[in-house]
Amino acid sequence: MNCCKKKYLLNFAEKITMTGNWQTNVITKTVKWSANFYRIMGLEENTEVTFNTYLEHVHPEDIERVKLHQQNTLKNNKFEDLVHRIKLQDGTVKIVRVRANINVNEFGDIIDIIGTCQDITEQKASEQKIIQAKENLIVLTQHLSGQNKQLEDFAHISSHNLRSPVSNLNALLHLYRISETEEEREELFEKFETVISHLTTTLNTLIEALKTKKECEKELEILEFDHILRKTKEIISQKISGTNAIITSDFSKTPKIKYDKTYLESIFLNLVSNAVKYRSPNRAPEVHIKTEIIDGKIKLTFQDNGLGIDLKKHGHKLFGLNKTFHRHPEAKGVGLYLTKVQIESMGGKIYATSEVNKGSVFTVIFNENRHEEPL
Amino acid sequence: MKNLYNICVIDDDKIYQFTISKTIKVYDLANEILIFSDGEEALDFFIKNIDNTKDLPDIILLDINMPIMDGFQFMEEYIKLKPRVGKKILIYMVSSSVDPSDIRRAEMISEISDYIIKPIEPGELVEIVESFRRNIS
Repeated sequence: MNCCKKKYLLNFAEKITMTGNWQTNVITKTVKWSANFYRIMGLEENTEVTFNTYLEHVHPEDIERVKLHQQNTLKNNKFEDLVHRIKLQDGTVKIVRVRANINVNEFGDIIDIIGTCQDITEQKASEQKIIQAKENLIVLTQHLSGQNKQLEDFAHISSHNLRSPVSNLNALLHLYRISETEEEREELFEKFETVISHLTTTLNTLIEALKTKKECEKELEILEFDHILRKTKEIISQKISGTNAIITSDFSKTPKIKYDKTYLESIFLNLVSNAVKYRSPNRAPEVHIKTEIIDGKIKLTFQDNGLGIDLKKHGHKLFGLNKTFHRHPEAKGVGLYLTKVQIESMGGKIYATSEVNKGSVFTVIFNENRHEEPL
Repeated sequence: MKNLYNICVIDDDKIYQFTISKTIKVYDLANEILIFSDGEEALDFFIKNIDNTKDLPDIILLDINMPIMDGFQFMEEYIKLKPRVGKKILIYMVSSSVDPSDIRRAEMISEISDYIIKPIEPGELVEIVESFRRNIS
């Protein structure tokens, strides 16, 4: 094959692979570009080029990295593969992959560098699309698993929390039918009232939870933790003063959050009043609330010195509906369930650590990345 | 002979406690009715009265979901205690849970005679006492 034909083939191969080749002579400080390299750089073929011409086309945000790469190449006599952006004179931005070999003389000094430069803009864009699609799928899967879990919870709730009051009603009804005195009937009637009011509470909670799920697109506002806590304290001020509770807080790490106001208030109200409600009889309740940033997410913790919960025994049902863990007249088992539903509907999570007779820590991790809508 | 047996109810539901004891009384099914609101209360009673065989229940109606110590946790403790119990005790799990995993779990425990889904009908209660009587004689 003659030289001309070889050159034609090379040029053809470069065109379809969107690759150009170049040579830099370190001694004479001259550079030589192939026709297709000129095309990639958006320059007329055979334009006068120097080594600086290349650097002038490197994207400003990548220039430091490219210069560092250059220094390393000269220092180590090795050209590592390099991917960076270039910016053409007309403003077009491309992504290129540069590969090269170094030729050295007998003393180990660099004579010249011969390399290729491939335009991988489209490749990167497709890659990006795949990554994006994968991320969207992950979000969608999380969303669906969340909904699945909620449906399971619902089935569980209707089985447990609706069946038992209804079976109580049936038993009461039977006793009512066979009752003989007015006194008995009156007593039974009181029991009916208790069950019905319990059933009403359960249904209201379920409706509350259903609402939570439907309003997935809430109006978010910037809220100050300090304000929310102040409001919570006002609502339960009687309980606080009645129990000599000490409530301290430190929101200095991250004083604000973009969140749904009603939910955040409800989270604070439930967790703070729980901490006071389940206090130890041996000491005044102390609650410390603070925020931190962990892996870019806001972490809110409520630490108390109360009764604590045996999580080995009860951990799996801590956030279930109508689950109670203390022989406490006010324990209804509604608060933590709703709190969890609200937090999860906003993409966050809640968990607890606890030691019996020492106290509990409830931790809320808010999801900061939820601005991206699932598909 | 009637009214020889002690029936023990372990359930945190106050209304259920009321209806079940009322039913037991109306149908005259027990000598003594013992009511506990969770497994731990019942267990404490067992430990205290382990040697007073006649005060111990003959039949236990045990709920699953309770605070402090639930029905399954109670069974774990009861099995440890069983060798020291000087009489035959029939245990029925009585729950409003229709969760197959609860039912399967109860079936796995040989000390549990049966799983009854609430509401427990008076007829079923009579049958339980009858079967206990047959069993003992």
